[in-house]
Amino acid sequence: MSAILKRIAFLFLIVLLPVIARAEQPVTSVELLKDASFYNAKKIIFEGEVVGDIMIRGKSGWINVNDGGNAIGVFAAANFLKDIDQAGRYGKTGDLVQIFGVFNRSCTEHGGDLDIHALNIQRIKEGNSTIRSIPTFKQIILVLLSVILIIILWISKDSRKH
Amino acid sequence: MLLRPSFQDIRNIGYYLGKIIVGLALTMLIPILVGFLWHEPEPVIDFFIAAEVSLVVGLLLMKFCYSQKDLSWMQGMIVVALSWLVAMVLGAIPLYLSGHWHSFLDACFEAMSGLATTGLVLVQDLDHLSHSHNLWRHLIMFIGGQGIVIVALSFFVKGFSGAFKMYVGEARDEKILPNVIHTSRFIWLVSFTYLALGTISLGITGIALGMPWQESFFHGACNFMAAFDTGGFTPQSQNILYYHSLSYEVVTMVLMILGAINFKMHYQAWIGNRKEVFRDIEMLGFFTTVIITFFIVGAGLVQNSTYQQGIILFRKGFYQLISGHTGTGFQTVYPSQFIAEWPHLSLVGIIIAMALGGAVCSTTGAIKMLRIGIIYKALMEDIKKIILPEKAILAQRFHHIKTLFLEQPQVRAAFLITILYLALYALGTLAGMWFGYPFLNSLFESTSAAANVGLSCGITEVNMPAALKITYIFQMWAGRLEFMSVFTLFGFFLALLKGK
Ligand SMILES: [Zn+2]
Repeated sequence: MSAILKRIAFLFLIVLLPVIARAEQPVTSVELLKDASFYNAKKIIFEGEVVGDIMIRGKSGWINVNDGGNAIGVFAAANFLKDIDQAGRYGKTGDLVQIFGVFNRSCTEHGGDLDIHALNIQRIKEGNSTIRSIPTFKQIILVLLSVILIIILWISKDSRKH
Repeated sequence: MLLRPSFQDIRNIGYYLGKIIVGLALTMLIPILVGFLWHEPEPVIDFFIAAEVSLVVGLLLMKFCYSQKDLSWMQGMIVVALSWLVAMVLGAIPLYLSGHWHSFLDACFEAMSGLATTGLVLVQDLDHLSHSHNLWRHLIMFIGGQGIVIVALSFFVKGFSGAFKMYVGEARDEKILPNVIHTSRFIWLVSFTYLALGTISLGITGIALGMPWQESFFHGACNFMAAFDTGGFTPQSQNILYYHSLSYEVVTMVLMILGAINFKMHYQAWIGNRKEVFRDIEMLGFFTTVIITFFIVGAGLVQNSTYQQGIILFRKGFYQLISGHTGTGFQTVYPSQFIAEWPHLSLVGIIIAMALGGAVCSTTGAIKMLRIGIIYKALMEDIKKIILPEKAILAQRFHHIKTLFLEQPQVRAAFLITILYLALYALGTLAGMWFGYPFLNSLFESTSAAANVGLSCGITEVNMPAALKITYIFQMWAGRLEFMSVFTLFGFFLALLKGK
């Protein structure tokens, strides 16, 4: 009897596994925008870099998460947002986060905006600095141009005297 | 007979062009300053390079074309048309050096889009762009909105001899005060007062939304320039959706409307003549067309049940409509949502609003309200001629600052420019369809480019055909300058080739 049960449980797992796996697969912003009606009000996983500002407004707040295709607004409880160290901007890569939450094509709570209401936010990777040293070709061009400019200014100053 | 332009013509044009380029180079000091403030060494170098290239070109032109003669009308028009193209190329240099644009053509597209206060973007990874480059994107909307020539020449004390001719060439033919210098000073006064007020109100709103104060005021200044100059760039890739805030939408909407109003009307309001606001043909036209086009947009959204609640329908529909009608291009929907979720009827409503535009002598593009009003009055006059007994016919009047009689040359000019705009919209639509985009998408994007709006339904992106990018650049340029100086430039080149 238990062997049969085990077998049924095993079959069940085989059938269910792809479904579970699919639910855990992150959706891209392009898919979300393209099939917004399909994903509307469904629980989804969305991964991307936190960009711009972490905007905490009282007990909740907003971050904008960019997965390389588009940035999407994520509404979350303030305690989730406080765990985010760094948002991406010039010279900085923001924290890479995984959002588990409800997707809204047109959120009735937030003026009809397309957004995600986070149930959980997990940091996958910390952000880092991306400032690089100034490339040599830019330095050379700058020096060359400066020399040319000084010569022109000098010549026109000279010719004005005559 | 076509006369070949003289050497003196070319010298004069070159000299003034040189002056304008030097003036433009000086405006690049502002992003350099911002780069120092935010500790962005590489962007500072980008702007030093661009400023030096501009100075070298400008000074060489001034030296080799040195002239003390006054500009003729033809020369003034050509200087204007050329200076917009040159400003596009020079303004694109720092953008391209940032590495956020895939090609120099893309950077030129963005620069023209900014200068012409359009707002279509090809920037990549905007969310990591430096403050200095971002400020430059917005500053060129301010410069282009005021008029490149006026901005550049204000650096020179004695640079105003041919100013009026160039002022007209930049589609700013209405003098508010009797003198063009006073007019441009008044425009500066209005713009700077609103700049201060707008930046402060957006900055405070930003702080209330949880942004750090430096970023709030930076975003405030950028978004003010984009709204008041009806440009439509924003510092972040999500456009106005970045802020998740009703108050931010309200403030930007007020600024967009202020930007679409004739500077003359600002003047009347400033000197206390508030009644004008409710009598002027342009203001009445604007109220009327906003109501009509919103009715169309709303009807479509209701039929399609795109939004579940009336208040949301109003917030989304009205914001995109005002953004389109004023020629700004701020969006609170993603470009792809326009096509995926909005019905054709609503899109047509937006297209009509974009095609009409705001007031003359403002920073909006498109046909503009004064022309629409004049054509409407002319139509009424003709209908009355048919209906009323012959003796009862009165000359048609309209109110624009003062009461004016409708005259045939005005009607003719209004019709001509309207037809040229319609042709320009058609040109881009055909180009879009040529490259395989659907009709409505092509019409939407083309009207947005030629009317200097900047709303996008998704055609404008980095992989679009280069020829279509060039078409849109041409549309933005010709649409912003209202054709005359562009035609003069073509005539000039023709005369160079075929003249005697
Ligand atoms: Zn929401």
